Amino acid sequence: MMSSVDLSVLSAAVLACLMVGTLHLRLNLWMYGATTMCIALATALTAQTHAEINLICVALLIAVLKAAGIPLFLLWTSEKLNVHRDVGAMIPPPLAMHLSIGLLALSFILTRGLPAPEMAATGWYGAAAGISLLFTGLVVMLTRRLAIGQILGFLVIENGIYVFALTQTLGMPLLVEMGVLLDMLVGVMFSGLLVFRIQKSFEHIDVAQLTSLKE
Amino acid sequence: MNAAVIFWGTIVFLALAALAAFVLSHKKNVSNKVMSFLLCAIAAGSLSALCSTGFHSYTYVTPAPFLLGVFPVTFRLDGLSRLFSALLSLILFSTGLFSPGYLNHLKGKISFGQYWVSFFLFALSMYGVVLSADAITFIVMWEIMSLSSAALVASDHSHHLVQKSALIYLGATRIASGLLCGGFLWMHSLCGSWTFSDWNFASAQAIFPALLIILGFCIKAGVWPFHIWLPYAHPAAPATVSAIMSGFMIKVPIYGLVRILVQGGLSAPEIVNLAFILGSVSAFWGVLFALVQNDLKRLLAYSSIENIGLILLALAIALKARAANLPVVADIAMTAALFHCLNHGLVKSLLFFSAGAVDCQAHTRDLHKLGGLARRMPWTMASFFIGSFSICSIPPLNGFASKWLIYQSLFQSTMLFGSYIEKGIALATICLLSAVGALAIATFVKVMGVGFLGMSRSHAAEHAQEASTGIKISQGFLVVLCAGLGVFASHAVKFISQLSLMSPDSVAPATVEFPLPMPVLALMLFSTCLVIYLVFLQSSKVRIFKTWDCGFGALSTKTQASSESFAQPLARIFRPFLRYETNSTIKGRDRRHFPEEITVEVKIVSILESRIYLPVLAVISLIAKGLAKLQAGSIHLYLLYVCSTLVILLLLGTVL
Repeated sequence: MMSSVDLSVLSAAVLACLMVGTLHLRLNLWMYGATTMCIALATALTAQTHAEINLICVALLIAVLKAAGIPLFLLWTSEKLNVHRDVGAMIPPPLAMHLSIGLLALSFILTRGLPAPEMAATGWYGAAAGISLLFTGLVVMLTRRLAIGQILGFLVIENGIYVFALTQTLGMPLLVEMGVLLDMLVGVMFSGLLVFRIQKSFEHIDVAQLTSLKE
Repeated sequence: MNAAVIFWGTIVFLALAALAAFVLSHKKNVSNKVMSFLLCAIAAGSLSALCSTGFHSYTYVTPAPFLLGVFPVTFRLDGLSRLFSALLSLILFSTGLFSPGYLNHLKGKISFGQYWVSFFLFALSMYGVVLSADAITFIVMWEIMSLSSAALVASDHSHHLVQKSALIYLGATRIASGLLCGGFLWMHSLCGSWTFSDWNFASAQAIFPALLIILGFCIKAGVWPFHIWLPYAHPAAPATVSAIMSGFMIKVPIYGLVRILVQGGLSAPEIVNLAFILGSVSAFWGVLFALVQNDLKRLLAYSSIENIGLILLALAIALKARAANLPVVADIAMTAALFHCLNHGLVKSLLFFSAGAVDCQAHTRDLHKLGGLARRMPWTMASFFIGSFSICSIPPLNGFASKWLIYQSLFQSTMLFGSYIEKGIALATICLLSAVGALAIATFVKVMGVGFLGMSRSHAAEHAQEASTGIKISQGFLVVLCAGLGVFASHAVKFISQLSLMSPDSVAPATVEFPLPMPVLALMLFSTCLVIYLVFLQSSKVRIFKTWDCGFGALSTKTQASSESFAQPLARIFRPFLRYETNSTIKGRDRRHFPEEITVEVKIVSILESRIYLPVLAVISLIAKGLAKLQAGSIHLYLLYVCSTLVILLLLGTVL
């Protein structure tokens, strides 16, 4: 039986898969925002079923900071750098989207074998959505050449870990989740600044060309 | 006196000295005299502490804050470790005396701060290895020993050859450490303990870890066919370092073999026979290659391979005899092995110090450029000659005493072993050892004759002066020790045999008697020499006359017997092992009768190095180049690795 929490995290996973299919930065960021909004919704729904007031706060924080704040900041960064479209790397975007859909299916197979925790808020749909988001994030990082794309992929991976934790436990304590959110914010700000620095020093933000640091 | 005092005293003092050298190294004027004095003081202190502890065994476990991760540092002081620490203290003490005079000529070439830091760490780790009671402490100390000695080999790293030597040595130590770690982990899984005294090698499963451990030790000891690093590392290092490396560090694996395998009750005939074969081959191989070397320190390095082979051989005889239940032979062989460790340690230090003094004064170690040093450096000559006599086992010096014991154990084996095959093997080994002894005499006669007698072959050798007082004192100290251990060999042998070496907890230790009356022998030999000198040599008048020079004009230094012309007739006998490559060119208009220029170039090709090690290395570097392509520097590629690893791990975890 699929609960509403499952439904919202699965829709987050599907949205993330769709995000792989386009290289427009603005569209990517909006879709990331939508994904995160779905996760915030899942958090709120979990809070409702378990009657935990803390999780409501967490859901609000996610909605404000992660779903709105971070995409807006990255949008502002890309406007400043005057980049609107990623070049793409390794795999063309449509193929990458299908690959991530395949990985979504694979994560269903994978999580069926996982031992289900007794205290789990939801069943293995949630775990599957979490692992699928993790894979999707990796695919995003693999198929983007610009540094902003890498940040985006990293954010999707973080979402996956959060979904996995949310659905497999009774939700993390407020303090932990707030700490993670703070780390995230600082990380994104920091990498945003780094992107500016890279742009200034190398006159591009193409990570595929940053290969001379291997030794 | 409490055992803890020794551990803390020695090890902490050495660590502090290393720290002091490190702090001073930033000031760029580390005083060699101060550092040498520190070294002497610490060595003398630890020696006196060792003497004052008596014969009891102590185990010391460090208290809580002084841990290696979660493991305590465990030390054990018993007969075996006492013997080796005493040898180390003696060698370090004499090195401390030798250093200030010697290191002066390296000024500007090496950084003394770095040298002394590595040196004190090296000394500390060697004490640590021979005192450690469990595998964790042992391997940590062993690693510090390997790395610090590699740093010392690379002291003068501006030369290409030194860099190459240090890399070869470092590679050899890495392989040795890897094998040892494998063996230790395997033994831990078999016995469930890291403590050496809990390890039992008598079971059938223990044969593979025993093999790993013995191979690891053989690489570090420089046993054939793993000796390749030794002739590179010794000439590259400063003489102080090569003296300690050759005198003590290559004995540390022997200590390990005794501590872990012999006291662990190893009896598997495969391992014992392997040790026997490796020991006898390296004794022969070492001395054969020593004979044809022209670099003084390289020659001494090959001679070390020979002696390590002899020690391993004696150990193997002891193990064989124990398995055949012949405790008499086993005790003699064991005592012989450890006595030879002690003697070779002292003699080789003496020889390396003398070679260092020659290097320091004549600025070369090449036998082609030396000669005639006897008149200019009489002290160095005397100490080198005494060292050479000892290493050629001429009575009444200490080399004779321990080699005689090895022969004794073999003679006993020919009589006491049951099967005729064993008797035959023992007999053949006696023949081999005599050949080795004869070649050793030839080798050192060559060095003494070419290096010290005759006329100088180069300008530098002609202007050499006697070494400084400190060097002379250190040489004299070691000469006295060598002669003393030879003359009072019966006491020394009795003492060593009572250290209960075969198994750490035997109640009544064996006593090996040394039946030769060495003091009487010494007196007889000395008086005979004196009489011969006084009666025959003293009275001979010096006659000055012209030798017939075949019409070539005045005799030049080139007409003397050279290093090659001395060694070649002997080396030709062993053509299958020694490959000579001779290139001679004769130039001149009428070159048949009146040659104007003759050049002869002789090269000895090491078959083992060119045919086996170089191809293997080439294959390894080919594979490594292929592997290096994995690290392309592309973020996307790295992400792909991460992603695929994650998928595979999850699949392994859930589907399987």
